[in-house]
Amino acid sequence: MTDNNANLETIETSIDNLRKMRRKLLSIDEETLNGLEPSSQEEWANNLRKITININKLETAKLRTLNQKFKDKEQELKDATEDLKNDLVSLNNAIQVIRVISGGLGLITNIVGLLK
Amino acid sequence: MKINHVFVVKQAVIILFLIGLVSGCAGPSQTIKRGDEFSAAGITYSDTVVGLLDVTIDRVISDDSDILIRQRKRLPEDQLAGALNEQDQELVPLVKMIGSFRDSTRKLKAYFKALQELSGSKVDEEAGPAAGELVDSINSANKTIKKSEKIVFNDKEKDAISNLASLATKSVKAKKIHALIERSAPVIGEQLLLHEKLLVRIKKILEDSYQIEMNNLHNKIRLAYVDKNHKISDQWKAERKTWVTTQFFVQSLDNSITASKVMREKWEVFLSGADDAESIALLLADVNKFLAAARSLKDVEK
Repeated sequence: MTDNNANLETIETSIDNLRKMRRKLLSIDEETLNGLEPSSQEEWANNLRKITININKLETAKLRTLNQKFKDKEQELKDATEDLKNDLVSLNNAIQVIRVISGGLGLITNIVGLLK
Repeated sequence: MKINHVFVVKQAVIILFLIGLVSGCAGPSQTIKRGDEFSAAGITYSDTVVGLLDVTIDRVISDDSDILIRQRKRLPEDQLAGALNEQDQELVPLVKMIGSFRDSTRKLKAYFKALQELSGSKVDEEAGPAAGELVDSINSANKTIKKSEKIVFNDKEKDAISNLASLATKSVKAKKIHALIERSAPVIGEQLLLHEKLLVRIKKILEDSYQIEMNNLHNKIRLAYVDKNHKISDQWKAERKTWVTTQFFVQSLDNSITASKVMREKWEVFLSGADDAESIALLLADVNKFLAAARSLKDVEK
């Protein structure tokens, strides 16, 4: 496998994991959200926004030459998204879902932010 | 009964020689018929892929807007402009990328149409210039997509593409058309291989979007059901039926990838002059069912 294909595979897996997280957030219905504290509602919205931006950034990263700073952290990104996706599998409580995503999303967003 | 083995072998050799002679010297009408069938398959294939990309562009933009609308209720007012700006910045290049893929597929369709016109007319030595320009245009699109999408072909794929031109020498006899087909051979082969790779990505985008839609619809059905104040109507039943019957359609997206592989094989078969019985109509019918479902699901959810 060429380096280029390896990069794309790592990015694809990270995107797949982020999509699963986004679907988890989107599956929290409006009624449940209305019942949460305003700070949790805001946290939900910010998580959704960050995940969506990360997905689109990674999708279009394939349009550009990946910079070395991002390449160095690529595997870490894949692992972080994989861990977070696995942590969410058995969670159904809205607050727990939001908190767990907030806990892991910082690292993911920082790595995706390295894309120039 | 006694069998004279030498006689049998001689007869077999003569028959094989005659078969080889006939197939090697396919007449113009046979070549035209094959070209016509292949072009028709190519046009149907291109139409379906353009439809698939239309739906993808529509879904990508619509999903992004839906997310913005849901966030809007929960974000403080002073963050809204920044959130919109950030999402806009990341959405536009993605849509542009899918749009370039759609443009090159439209060129591919125009090429198949030109090929069909050439097949339908008397084999006119001067009939190829328009198709020739399309080949140049597709070739240029291939280069752009390969570069921008960072697509790398492995050695086996590279060999397969470079061998296509030599296949064309065996089949088409008319001089100008032969030159056109020979030049088109690797370019169209490469475009179809790019389709195979890009459709894998498109499939993932659509799968995600479709899943979100199905979850939303199911949420709506569930909420209406558990609320005893809500009167269950025929519409509820119809929505539930939609949810149950359409959730497996997404699997038919695999058929679009298979169809691009089949088209590439058909192209090889066409170039080599062999008969081709494989049909992509059935594969594409399933993809078109998915497209219809994807278009209607959005309306049901409203």
